[in-house]
Amino acid sequence: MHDTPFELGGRTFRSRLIVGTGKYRDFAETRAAVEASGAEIVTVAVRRVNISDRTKENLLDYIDPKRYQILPNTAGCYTAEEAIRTCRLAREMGVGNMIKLEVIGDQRTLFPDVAATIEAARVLVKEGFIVLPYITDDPVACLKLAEAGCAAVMPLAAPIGSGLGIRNPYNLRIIIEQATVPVIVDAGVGTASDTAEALEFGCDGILINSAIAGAKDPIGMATAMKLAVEAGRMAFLAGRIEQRLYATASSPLGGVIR
Amino acid sequence: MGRFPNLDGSGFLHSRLVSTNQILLNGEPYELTGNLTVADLIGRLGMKPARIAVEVNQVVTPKAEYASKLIAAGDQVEIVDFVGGG
Repeated sequence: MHDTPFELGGRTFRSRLIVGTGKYRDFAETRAAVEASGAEIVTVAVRRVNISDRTKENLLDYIDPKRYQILPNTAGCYTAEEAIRTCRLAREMGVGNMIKLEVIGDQRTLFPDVAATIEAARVLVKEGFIVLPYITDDPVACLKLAEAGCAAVMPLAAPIGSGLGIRNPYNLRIIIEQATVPVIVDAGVGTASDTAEALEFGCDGILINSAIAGAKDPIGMATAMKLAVEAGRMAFLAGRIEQRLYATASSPLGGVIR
Repeated sequence: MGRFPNLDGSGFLHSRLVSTNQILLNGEPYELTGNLTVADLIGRLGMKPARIAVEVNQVVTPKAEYASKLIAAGDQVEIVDFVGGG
């Protein structure tokens, strides 16, 4: 089936799956899961270097920036200023200017601070960043982020790491319907059917970390997610049948023996 | 930097520093000995410039300026790299 390539910030990707690198046992497992997922875009976090212990390995020794589009995030930032500083530092690492913007508003839910996210997005777009913002499943916030010049909007399906799946499919459908930039579901996915559902709705892509890294078999779940993205996307393109309350027979009504 | 001006080394930073020869390195006091550039500092720490990024007083130091950028007592220096994240 013919599909258009996944365009993001002027680049095209074959895979519509973006994966995170948090919560894995070690870098070897991270690499194996990323490979199994088929993802071409990989998120990372920016953190202070451990000054006293320099023996630690570097994540980029396992996830080659020449092979993958590295997508630094601003996880843990609670103000626009912190997020902007983090993005500027990330760009200096030499992996390009695509960033996942998140400005957290609340520690328990990890829901975004919508106003601060929009404020940071405006500054970062002006500075030439390709901004992919994590945001609530709020159609108005998504519109404002698109107007601010973000390359995509990334509404959450459910709280980060919750595995609850798509809590508000109707909001998500509205966001997709009105979208002028790609819509990437970010956060809250639990298993493959959640992923397939998002793609069936017409989401352009999906970002997954916890559901893969936290699975009993992360490599197995990475493969399942890859297939779910493909199945969901194909079902979207193929066009599902209308939902009806009553049955419609699939076998001919006539010619039944009596 | 426009809207987010640099710290000038005064105020809250000094409250964490016990000697006048110290900087705040990744949030912890660090003793300076003589004039240090960013390149000197990361060399002394055994780090390679390729995989890190450096900020002095909340302004990123471009890699091309590591050899010339001097660090002064009271400076707030952040050195970061990438870790696993989602």
